[in-house]
Amino acid sequence: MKEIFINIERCTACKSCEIACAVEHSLSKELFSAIFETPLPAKRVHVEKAFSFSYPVKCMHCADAACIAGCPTGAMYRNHEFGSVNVNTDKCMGCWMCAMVCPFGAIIPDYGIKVAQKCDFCPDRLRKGDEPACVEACPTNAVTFGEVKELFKSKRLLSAERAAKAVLVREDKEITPLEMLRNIGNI
Amino acid sequence: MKIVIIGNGVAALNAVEAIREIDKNCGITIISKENESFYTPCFLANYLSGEIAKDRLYLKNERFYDEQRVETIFGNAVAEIKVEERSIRLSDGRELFYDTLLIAAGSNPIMPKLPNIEGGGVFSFKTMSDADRIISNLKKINSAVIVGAGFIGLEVAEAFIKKGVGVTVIERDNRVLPRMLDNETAELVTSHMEKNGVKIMTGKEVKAICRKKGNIAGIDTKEEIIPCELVVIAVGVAPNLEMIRDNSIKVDKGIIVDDGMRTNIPNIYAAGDIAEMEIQGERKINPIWFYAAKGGRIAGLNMMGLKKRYAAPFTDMNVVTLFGLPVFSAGIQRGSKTLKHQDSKGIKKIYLDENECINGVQLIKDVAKGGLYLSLINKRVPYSLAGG
Ligand SMILES: Cc1cc2nc3c(=O)[nH]c(=O)nc-3n(C[C@H](O)[C@H](O)[C@H](O)COP(=O)(O)OP(=O)(O)OC[C@H]3O[C@@H](n4cnc5c(N)ncnc54)[C@H](O)[C@@H]3O)c2cc1C
Ligand code: SF4
Ligand code: SF4
Repeated sequence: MKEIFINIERCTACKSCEIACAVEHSLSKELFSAIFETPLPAKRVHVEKAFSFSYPVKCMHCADAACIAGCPTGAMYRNHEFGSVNVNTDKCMGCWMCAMVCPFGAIIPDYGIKVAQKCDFCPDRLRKGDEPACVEACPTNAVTFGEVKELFKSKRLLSAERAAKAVLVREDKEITPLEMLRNIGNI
Repeated sequence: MKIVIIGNGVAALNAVEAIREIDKNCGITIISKENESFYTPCFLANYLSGEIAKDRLYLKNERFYDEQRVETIFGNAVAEIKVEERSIRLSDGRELFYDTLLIAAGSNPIMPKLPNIEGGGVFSFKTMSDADRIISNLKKINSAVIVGAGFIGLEVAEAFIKKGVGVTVIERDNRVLPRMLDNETAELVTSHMEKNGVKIMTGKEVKAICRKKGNIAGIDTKEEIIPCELVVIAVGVAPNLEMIRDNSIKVDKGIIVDDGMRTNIPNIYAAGDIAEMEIQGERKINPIWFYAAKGGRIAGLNMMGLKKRYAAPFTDMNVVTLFGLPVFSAGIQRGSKTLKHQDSKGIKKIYLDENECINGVQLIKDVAKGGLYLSLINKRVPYSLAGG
């Protein structure tokens, strides 16, 4: 089964992945028409910048997915075709239990329509044999797609934890860049 | 091998799915007191308010039990577990033998011993039939009192307002959502509830229920009588130990299990609201969906001979949406240092311990990052905001 791997050191915060994701999840799947759609197509990957640090935050399609166990409607499910974790928006009640337990902050609540959104692994693209849109768009190979290797897995988790820390600490404006780096080093 | 599961909730169903991943053929029998197919209790208040139809609560289609080759006995309670005989006795007197047993009978609503609590007009809010009974009484009434301002009490209050029923919530503690929030954030939730028409009284102990000719007339706190026509008791839940009749299975508040959901009896497991986990000398009941689902799965795998352990700590957490306002809480809302951040997206409040690790987090309005904080709490990562 193929997985997305994120290399935190390579991300330059160019946000190509965000744009590609939004376009892939638009009605037209074309950038120039997508920007005129209402509502604007939503991206499911967010590049979080923390001073000298940036990182694309998205669903890791965990093997033992907390969001599936936490979902009390059965809306969150494993798509066995691609091994991905997806939301059935018809079943979702917008209770945010998935956001409560996702260790990566990868759930994007749509508070308006009370539906959880998240990375869906671009099933239309995978079916055609293409890579997910964010992977294809990333100019520095910070986001790559391939077979799972144990080494990759442990490294991936480490960087995800760092990202968690970066995302959270960034919000507290009081912190200085030096403290920021120290915090990241702490993990 | 013959497996018997007591209960038909999320812990039971997760166990079934785990067992079937490993063994497609062993005999599985589910016994449930309620005569209902598997449903989620988490949205009963949305059903009460009329926002969703009943069928949205049922999470598996009719064929599920057949497809999983599970025999079902619904509408029949287990009255006794006979550990020596490896059997259970049902309320209709039937006896059933098992090789391995999973007790997943959930929790019962706590009903305080108040004068006049027995009789019509007083309801708990735990099961589908509780919700149905309240719905069938709603047309006859204009005002209700809810005893308890936990998340279930407040959800029911919202549903009553949406049904046009005036509602007062009485809470013994000094604030709403006492297990989730501190005074400051609870105050915000209180004013939000009040703006939406719910009357909230905190720091008030209910002394008695008043009746006139058998009908509910009001609720007596020490200071005053609050008139109402219907009462919902929502003061919490406790493990349902009704089928434990002797001392062989170790219980405290719930059935004591280790991190593999094993009881002290080798072929008996427990999971979900009924289980009290004992890890490194500490005991904890955590009656929420996530832990019931996880626990059920681990129990199922271990019943099949695997050695799975519950890895994550058993942190308190919950998220509830009240009149459109999401409220998240994880951990303990106490500490040696408090951090607060407020902007257009909402409020975030963090409690740190002396080592600068996160004790607890409360999020109001934007709860998207709740799980990130939860993982930082669980991993004891220092937050170290020096000078912050
Ligand atoms: C109104 C409400 C709202 C909730 N909202 C949330 C929420 O938003 N988020 C959250 O995480 N959690 C919520 N919860 C809690 C969550 O629903 C429970 O933690 C979860 O359902 C527990 O699952 P369980 O399998 O242990 O037990 P249950 O789902 O309670 O199932 C117990 C089963 O055992 C059966 N049973 C009981 N006694 C016997 C007997 N003697 N013999 C045979 N069968 C028996 C019952 O019929 C039932 O099938 C809510 C609960 C309620 C009541
Ligand atoms: S939403 Fe979060 S918990 Fe669920 S699979 Fe994705 S990263 Fe894992
Ligand atoms: S918000 Fe939707 S997908 Fe997430 S846990 Fe609730 S019902 Fe499931």
